[in-house]
Amino acid sequence: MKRTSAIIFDLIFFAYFTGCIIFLINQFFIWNTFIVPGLILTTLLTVIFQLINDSIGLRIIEYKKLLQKRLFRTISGWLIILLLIITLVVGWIIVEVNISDFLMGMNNTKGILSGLFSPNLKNLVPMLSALAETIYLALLATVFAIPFAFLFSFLAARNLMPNTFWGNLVYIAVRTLSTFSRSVEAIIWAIIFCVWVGIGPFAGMLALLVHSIAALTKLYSEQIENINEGPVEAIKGTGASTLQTWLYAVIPQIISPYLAFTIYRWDINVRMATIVGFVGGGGIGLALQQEQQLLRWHNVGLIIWLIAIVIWIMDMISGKIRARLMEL
Amino acid sequence: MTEILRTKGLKKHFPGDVQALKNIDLVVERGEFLVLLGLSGSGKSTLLRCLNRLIEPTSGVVYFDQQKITDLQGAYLRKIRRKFGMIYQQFNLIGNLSVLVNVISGNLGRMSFWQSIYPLGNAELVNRAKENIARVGLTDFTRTRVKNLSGGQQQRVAIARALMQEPEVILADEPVASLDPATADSVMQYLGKLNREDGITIICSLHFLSLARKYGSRVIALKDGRLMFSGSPQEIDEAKFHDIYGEDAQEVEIR
Repeated sequence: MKRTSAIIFDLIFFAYFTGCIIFLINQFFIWNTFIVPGLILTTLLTVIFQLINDSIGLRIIEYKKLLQKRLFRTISGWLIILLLIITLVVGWIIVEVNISDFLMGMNNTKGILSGLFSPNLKNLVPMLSALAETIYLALLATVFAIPFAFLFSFLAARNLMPNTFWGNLVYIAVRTLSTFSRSVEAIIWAIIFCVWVGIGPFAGMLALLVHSIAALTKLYSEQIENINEGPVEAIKGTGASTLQTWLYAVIPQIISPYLAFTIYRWDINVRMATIVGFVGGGGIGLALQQEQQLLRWHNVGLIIWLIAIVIWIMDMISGKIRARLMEL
Repeated sequence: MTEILRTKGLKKHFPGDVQALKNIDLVVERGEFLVLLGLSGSGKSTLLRCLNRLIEPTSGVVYFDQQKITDLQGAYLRKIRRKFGMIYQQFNLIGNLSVLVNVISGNLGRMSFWQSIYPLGNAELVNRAKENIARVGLTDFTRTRVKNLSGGQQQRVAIARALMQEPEVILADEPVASLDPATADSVMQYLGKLNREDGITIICSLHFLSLARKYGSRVIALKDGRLMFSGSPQEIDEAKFHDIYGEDAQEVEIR
């Protein structure tokens, strides 16, 4: 059994290893047969290293025995080091890292830099209104997310859901839904909602709303899972129903962390609103994207300053409020 | 004397093959002050919680007032739980709420969900809560948040909460184990008063024999989940003491 899993691990490692080598060969020679030599080399290497009983797979499966040996004393240790070096080299080529571009291309940013140092203040009023749009859409997304996340957080808390078929079903369904909508980035939700309701702040608000519900559900339910169980037991012991127990023993313990997380979420939503705006979600992000494509660098400079100032202020205020809430 | 509680063959297994209770047969008379002794882990907490079904026994039966309560569900179970006030070593109050609301929470078993959303609007209920707060001598702290009170005061709030249930039995799970000796005695005095004046049956687990002798009308001892002694507190001599607590134990006086 152990041998089988070691062989599977080795096959995966050597497939990657030969893949990297063939990729490197292809950088210098045109050689279009990948698969057959790759498979042959992979199998060959696996067989050889399995025969000498010192491969990466064995090292992982029987880590206790092999960890006692030093990395440089074993062939598998050297293989790991070789694998890391090859990975870095391949990565360097794929990412097209180019130091001279980095050093010589500086001049091209003159436009943006001069825009940053002399922002076009004549456009202050329209840009401020776009900024207000961003702040309000972030605020609405946060506020509308609260009731949904509040409700879902109870259903997604392990300690509140009974360990029965329906209890587990609800718990897993809410958890999966929340994980799924969180793993889809807000920018992708924005693209969907721009098609759905049209380009503008409403689409941006909906995108942030979906993401906020999912994120707050997770943060809230973790808070519930961390509550002190003593009061829950005590309230249950008075003959209270499940809902009464939640009302008296759970909610009073979670109110102030909930508020702190919500304010933090608003803070994040303002940042995300600018990104979401870039794909049509309205507000200052949309303005930034338009001005940047017209190469009006002085307007871009103004927008960057405005965003930076707002985020700086939000960060400060929300930090203060959260610190105060945690004392409660 | 009439019987109020009876257990028959009560057993509790926890996952991982831990047998917390092995066949407990126990009769409790109405109006007793029953003290539960035994080492930590001997099953005292489990026994208390099996009586009001905060823990489901694996097998066996509990009778309350001749009525079998081990198979009750839903509203019937909650109705029975109302009759058991319970106080805990860690008080288990809600620290963020006022003394008044904590005491009112003892009445939840008699309230609908809608009534429990804003109980302070119910003048009769608030008055009853204030009377119970006065009984434990905390009138000046009615609006204080519980987390700002001392340990002894918090345990008195917990007693007032239990009184709010108008209980027939009070289960006390090491009520004084986290209090200093002087405060511990004053909390025990309140329990003794409820036992004498209101006729409430009290089942109280304790760690100190001196308190058991002072307040208990009967003592039972648990060892490894078995009932191994039942008798008056005076009957516990040196030999019995070593039976309960092991050969190496020394009795500590707290005075």
